[in-house]
Amino acid sequence: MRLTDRRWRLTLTIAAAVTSLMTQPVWSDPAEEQALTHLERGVAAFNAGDFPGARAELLAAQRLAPHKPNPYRWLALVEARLGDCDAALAHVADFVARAPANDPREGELRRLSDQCARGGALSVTSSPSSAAVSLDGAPLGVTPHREIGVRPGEHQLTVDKDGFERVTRSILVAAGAQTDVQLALRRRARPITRRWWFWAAAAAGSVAAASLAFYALHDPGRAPLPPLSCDDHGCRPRGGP
Amino acid sequence: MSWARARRAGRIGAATIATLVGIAAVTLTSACGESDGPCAHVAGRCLIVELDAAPSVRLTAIDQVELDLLYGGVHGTATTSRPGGGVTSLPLETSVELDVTSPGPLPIGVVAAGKLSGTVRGTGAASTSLEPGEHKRIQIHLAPPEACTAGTTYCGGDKVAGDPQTLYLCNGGGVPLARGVCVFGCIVVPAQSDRCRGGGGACIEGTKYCGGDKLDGDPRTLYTCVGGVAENPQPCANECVVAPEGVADYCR
Repeated sequence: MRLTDRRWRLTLTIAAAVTSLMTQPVWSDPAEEQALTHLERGVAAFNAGDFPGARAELLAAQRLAPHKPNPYRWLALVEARLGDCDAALAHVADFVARAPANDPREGELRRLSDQCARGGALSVTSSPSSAAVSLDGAPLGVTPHREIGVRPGEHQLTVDKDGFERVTRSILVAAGAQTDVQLALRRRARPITRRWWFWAAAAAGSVAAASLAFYALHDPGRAPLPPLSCDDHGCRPRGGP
Repeated sequence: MSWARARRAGRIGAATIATLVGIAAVTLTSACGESDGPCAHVAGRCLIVELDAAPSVRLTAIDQVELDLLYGGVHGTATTSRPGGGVTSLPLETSVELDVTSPGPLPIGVVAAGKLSGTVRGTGAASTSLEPGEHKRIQIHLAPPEACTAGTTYCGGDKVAGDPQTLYLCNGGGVPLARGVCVFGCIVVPAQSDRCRGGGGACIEGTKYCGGDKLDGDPRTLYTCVGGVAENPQPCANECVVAPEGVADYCR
């Protein structure tokens, strides 16, 4: 009975240990637990389309568990969606260095690398059309315009059309994706000094003012009185006897 | 590129054209209003006389200016008015060309009377000197004249406008007429004619002198020295000439 009790106690102990192992997370370290929490939040943010928020959470996870590959994977995906291919590729490399050989997630990241290498597509349309398009100061063409192989990342897009307000917008081109930009141009309100009639009126005003000044100075009522002439014999109106 | 082509090419904007028009207009106006105008074509001495009402005097226009000038030893009076008549607003200006062959600075005393419908509405005076070929501007402020007795002489400033060292004849309805500069000063004599002070030594009994030359009197009148006093006045029709020491003065 005593032996039986001992066996039973051993069995219970083993069962408890197994249960404990089964219920513990994979990352048993407290820091790893926190990292897992951040990772889960980051993935949720990514799925919700909040890529900057996802990046913050994933970076926190990566700092707490730098040897874990999964945060790098998600960071690579996030950076790709944010258009920073260089950062994405760096995270891919970090992931590969930490993941076991033949990890099935490598295929996904390889596709990501290919997309980064290909760049993104940019489509710009405007109303009205035929507006000049330039990207980061380099002219591309006129609207409607489609540009492929645009380096992923943030760019300054400028759309300019005579008579309309110039539009400068910061756009984010994602790797392997198409970025569509549709713009409704606003007609430029010309300043009064750019109106032809303003300067015509100004010129007319100048001439009128000059004429008034001329006639004021040459007003018969203001002109000098006829001159006098004096000599050794006296004075008289000039030209007189 | 020609101007027209530049304009067509949009390189010369409306603002530029308007500015040029304005500058041209202002330049034209300025050129036409030059300050030396009345004397512009005079080679010799020329005096621009600007007349205005004295402060606090309500005189806005006149129709005739009468000037009395004493330049060097010469006296002259002349009037000027707008051709065809008409009133002239104050301030106004006229000019006097002095064709006098006198080297060096020529002292000039000017008395002006502004008339409206034949009545003196204001008188004023100023003096200056002109070098040969010099043009100068003087300002005379016209003030209502005080009542002076016609035919009586006054020092300038004593009921008549003028230089205090010059004797003038009250002209009734005209500009005071300068009699001459008082070399030794002008004496104001209440209730009598003012006169030039005699100086330069004692007079010689029985000798004739212009007033102001050793005897008190009118510089255009010849007096006889009687007991050191001016007696027997003889007005000169034109001018009384002060002769050198030892020689009697005479009428020209």
